[in-house]
Amino acid sequence: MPVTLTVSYGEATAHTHPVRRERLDRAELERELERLHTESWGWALACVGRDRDVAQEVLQTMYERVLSGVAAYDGRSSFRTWAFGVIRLTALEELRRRRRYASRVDDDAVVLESSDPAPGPDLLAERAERAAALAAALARLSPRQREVLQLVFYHDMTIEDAAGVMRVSLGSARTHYERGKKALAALLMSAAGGIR
Amino acid sequence: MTMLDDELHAHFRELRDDDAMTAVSFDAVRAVAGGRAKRRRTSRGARSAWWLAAAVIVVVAGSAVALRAWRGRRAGGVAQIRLDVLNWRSPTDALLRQSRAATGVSQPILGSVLDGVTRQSDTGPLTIKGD
Repeated sequence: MPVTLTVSYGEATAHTHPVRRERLDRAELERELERLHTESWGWALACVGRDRDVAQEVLQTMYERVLSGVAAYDGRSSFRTWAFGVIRLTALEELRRRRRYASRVDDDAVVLESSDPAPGPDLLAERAERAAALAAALARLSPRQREVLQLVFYHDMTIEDAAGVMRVSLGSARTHYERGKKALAALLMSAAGGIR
Repeated sequence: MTMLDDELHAHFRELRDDDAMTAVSFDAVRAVAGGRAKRRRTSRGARSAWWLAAAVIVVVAGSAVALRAWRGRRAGGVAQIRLDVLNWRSPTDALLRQSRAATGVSQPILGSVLDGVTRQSDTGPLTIKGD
């Protein structure tokens, strides 16, 4: 079924588009979400500093918004670009909400920092160590640099698509990409004596 | 694509594979999200009903207050009209209070009828003012 519409979520909700309005039905939405689920999981992890609990909460909230029609896909971009944008906004809201809650409760037990993916007993393989080192290096980049590198290298998006997800201009995304790539390479080299 | 790009791709691929192995199942996430979406719809309906009820109460209360005020104004107006009727006096009402003898004698001054004519004395002729 051809879909020819605008993204209407967050600040874009009020935007009107002169094309015919045609929505994906619930079954189609569920199929698309299922097809993208593993990728969405990876993107949600990246958006919340790789905290599994928060990532799961973000995905649940995002699916709820999509299935209840609060976040409506209109076909102006690919479903994946749109869905990743929704996940990113949902993650930002969730992190803000948790920061507010943590500051109100003032309890050390409620500190919700990004989980440190330090290798445990089961993650001693070289491959897992490299993955952990990469996650740690990514955590030290700026949020924009981390996002664009994750989208390009992890999700194989073009920089243009990444800019769409991040809601920044193409030039800005390209700048973050170049600077982030250099910074990440330097961090990986200093952490492991060079990329193997 | 540079060598650095290739190496970064390889690193990210490993991270992606690790994430895929530990991903939560789609069915679990969808089940929770579906339940929340259903509750959201229900609570939205209940919220709408509350808003509707509140709107009806406001309209009814406002109408009652307005009706009461209008009735009060109306009752006050009728009372004022009744009072005016009771206090009304005819322009010739004074004549009714004079004796019959006094009523037969012409009044010394009837300015509105004999404008400009004055009596010099009881016996003299009538003269025009200014002669």
